[in-house]
Amino acid sequence: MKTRIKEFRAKYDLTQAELAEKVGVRRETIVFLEKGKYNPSLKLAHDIAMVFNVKIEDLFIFEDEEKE
Amino acid sequence: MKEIKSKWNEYYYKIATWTGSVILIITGFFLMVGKTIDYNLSISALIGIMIIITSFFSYIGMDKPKDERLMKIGTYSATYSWYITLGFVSFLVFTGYNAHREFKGPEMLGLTILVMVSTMLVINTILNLKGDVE
Repeated sequence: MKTRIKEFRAKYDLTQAELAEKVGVRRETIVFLEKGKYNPSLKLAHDIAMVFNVKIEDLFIFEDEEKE
Repeated sequence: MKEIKSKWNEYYYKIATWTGSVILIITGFFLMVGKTIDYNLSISALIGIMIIITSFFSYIGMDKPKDERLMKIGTYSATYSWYITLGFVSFLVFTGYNAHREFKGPEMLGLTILVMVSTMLVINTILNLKGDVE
């Protein structure tokens, strides 16, 4: 799964630590999310989307391989 | 300043959990080899357990700020650790019994502590480096 968190974070001028604090997780989790190594819960995905005022599907991109 | 404090807390919990675990692993090893409990071993076991108890839940993200990834990893590693310990220790005891090799209480306790703590730490570290349990 790919994410556009880094892109939106740069747009909103937020550090990983600041975003982590806003959504109530640790900075490491944001690092793994940005690398696409961690699949977040629906709640975390929703919380991050709310911070950036976008839809969840605009933030997380599911690839075809994962759907299968 | 807040960020430094939060990072320090993260490191503190990691250091505390690892220190407590290393103390328990060493204690477990000596219990297993010596097959008896003495004053020094009982004190070191207590210190190790006390350190782990105060830092473990923060280490696996169950303390504030709660972290779903660490909680998931911590839960998996605790489950696997319990599963491996149950299998390994039971296998050893029952095969030992059939081979007329009886284990003493402190030896069993040392073995259980050693396997349980070390497997939990190793699995937790591997999953943490991987990022997720999947």
